[in-house]
This record gives sequence, C-alpha cells and structure tokens, in this order.
Amino acid sequence: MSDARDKLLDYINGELLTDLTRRAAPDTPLFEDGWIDSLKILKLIAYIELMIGRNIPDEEIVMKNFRTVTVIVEHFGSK
Amino acid sequence: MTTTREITIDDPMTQLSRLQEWAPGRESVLGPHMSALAAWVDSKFLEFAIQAGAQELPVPRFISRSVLERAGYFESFPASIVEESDGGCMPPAACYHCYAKLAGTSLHEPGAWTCIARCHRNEDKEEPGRLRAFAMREIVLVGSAAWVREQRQEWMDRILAFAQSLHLVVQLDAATDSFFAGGAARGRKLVQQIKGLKFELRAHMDATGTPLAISSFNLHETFFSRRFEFRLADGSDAHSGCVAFGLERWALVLALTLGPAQAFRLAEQEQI
Repeated sequence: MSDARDKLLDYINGELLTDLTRRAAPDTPLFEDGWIDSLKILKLIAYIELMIGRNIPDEEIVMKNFRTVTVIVEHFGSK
Repeated sequence: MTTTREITIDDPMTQLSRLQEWAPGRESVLGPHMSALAAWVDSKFLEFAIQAGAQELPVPRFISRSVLERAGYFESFPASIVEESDGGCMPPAACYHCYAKLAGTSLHEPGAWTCIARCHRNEDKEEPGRLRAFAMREIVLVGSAAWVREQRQEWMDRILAFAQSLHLVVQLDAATDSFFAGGAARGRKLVQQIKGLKFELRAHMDATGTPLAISSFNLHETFFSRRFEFRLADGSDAHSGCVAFGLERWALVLALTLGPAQAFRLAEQEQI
C-alpha cells in the first residue's frame, strides 16, 4: 500500500505540480486551492489507470474516491 | 352550493411543441393557463428568495456582448448565443446581469440577489424540455466558500421539499454540464463532478421517460468573481453560486404530473 502511495505522490509532485514550492502530502486535499485542475486530472486518472491496470469509469470519479492520495490508494488499491 | 367552472386548459405537450419550434426572430409564448402556472410557481420562488434575504434585481431585456465575453461565455458555448443588433444579445441565463452589477465591488457581508430574465439559446438538440426561449429565475449567492456552499445546501433542501409538497416525483442528482465533450473539456467535467459543483433537481414526467431537470444548484468557486473582480472585504476573492429555475419546465411537469386542470386550479386558488 505504501509503495503505491509513494509512487502516486512522486508522480503528482514530480509531474503534475509545476510550482516547486508546493508539495502534496498523503493527506493533502487535492481538489482544494487548485492543486489539481481540469488539465491535470486527466493525467492523474491516466496514471492511476496504468497503476491499477484497468479503466476507471466516470461514475467512479467522485470526491469520496479522490479526496487525497491516501484515499485514492485505499479505494483503487483494493480492487 | 358551489359551482364547477369548466376550464379549457392548454395542453402541456402542445405548449412544449410550440416552444420547441422557436427560431431566432420568433418569440414564443405559453398559452394563458400555462403562463399563469409559470407565473404562480415563479411567485413562490421569489417569495422564498425574499424570505432568505435576497435582493430583487431588475434586469434589462438584453445583455451586452462584452459582459458575456468577460464571463467567458463564448469559450464554453461558442454557438449558442442569440445576438441582436448594436452589440446586444439575448441573455443565455439570468445571472450574468448580476455579475456585471457586482463588477469591481467589495462586499462587506455575504449577499444574495434574485432576478428573472427571458433567455435564449441556439440549442441544437431536439428533446423534450430543451427550449430555445425560456424564462429563468435565478438566485445568485456571493460570499465565502463555506457560506455559499451552506446556502446552496439550504436551497436544495428548500426546493426539494417544495417540489415534494406539490406531489412532483423528483430526485436531486449530482450533474455535469452536458456540453462537456472530449479533451480538456472532459477534465472540466470531471473536476466539476469530483467537487460536486452542480446538482440538478430532476422531475419524472411519466413512468418511463428520462427525468427533466427543472432546477440547478451551482457553485462557481471564484470563476466569476475573478473575471468580474468582486471581492470580500478582507481583499480575498469572493465565491459565488447560483440557483436556477426553468419556469416553463416547472409548469410543464406540474401540468403533466397533476393534470392540467388540477395544476391550474392550484395556481388559481393561491391567487384568491
């Protein structure tokens, strides 16, 4: 679980967040204060799909599954 | 002894067809009974708005193209605007007038405004209830993020209860704007979905049909406040939201659910 969490955090901090002064932590709310916007979310979803080996249907893309990195890994890691 | 007066009621589906035949340059109107029903339901929304502390904002028939450009309307809906001559447009929604009114202001406390406008959109889809000309009442909410979200929840609770009191078969659903398509627009749709920015109150017109959205409850975050430069007293960006009512749609679902005669009597009794 922590491997997946670290991998996802590395991707978000290394590839998605261009502002080097802002680093996401495991429990950072990703959709507040503009951390993840409408462009970054597509890359984020594509990356998670690669991690879990399946497509994520739109109905599953809701706040309770995407609030933080920890939540994402708990939800999709259990599939 | 009471006497029963025969009422010749406008057939709601005929009214709907007439509205769908609307084309630029041709103003459509509801028949007298459906108009009365739409006016009655609007009077209830206005009453709710005033009770909730909203200020009524009279708005002109047209809206300038520059206001819509500032609102980013053409970025999202490049083909849907109905233009008039001399730089004026038919408003695609009532609330744009409100953002123009608030432009450049600093709000010392959160506020709510309500307005009604005859709106026009060049809709290319043909489906029940998708009208090209329609009356829309809106309540615009401006304040902190928490205040706007809380107010929106109160409005969802209030209008759901109102619809149920009228025996409408309704559901409140998370929604995204249907115009979002592929590419970056899909990202906008998904962010809207994750953040729960849009909810719709949908009414069933019959047992099998797709429910019709009759109201929407929207959070804009700082989208409009940044474009129109209205802020909170502490200098931070204000958040905004809006609650919208499609008045013809409300009249239609009332007439179809209750039966036209009973629906019109409901409005008539209230007016006595």
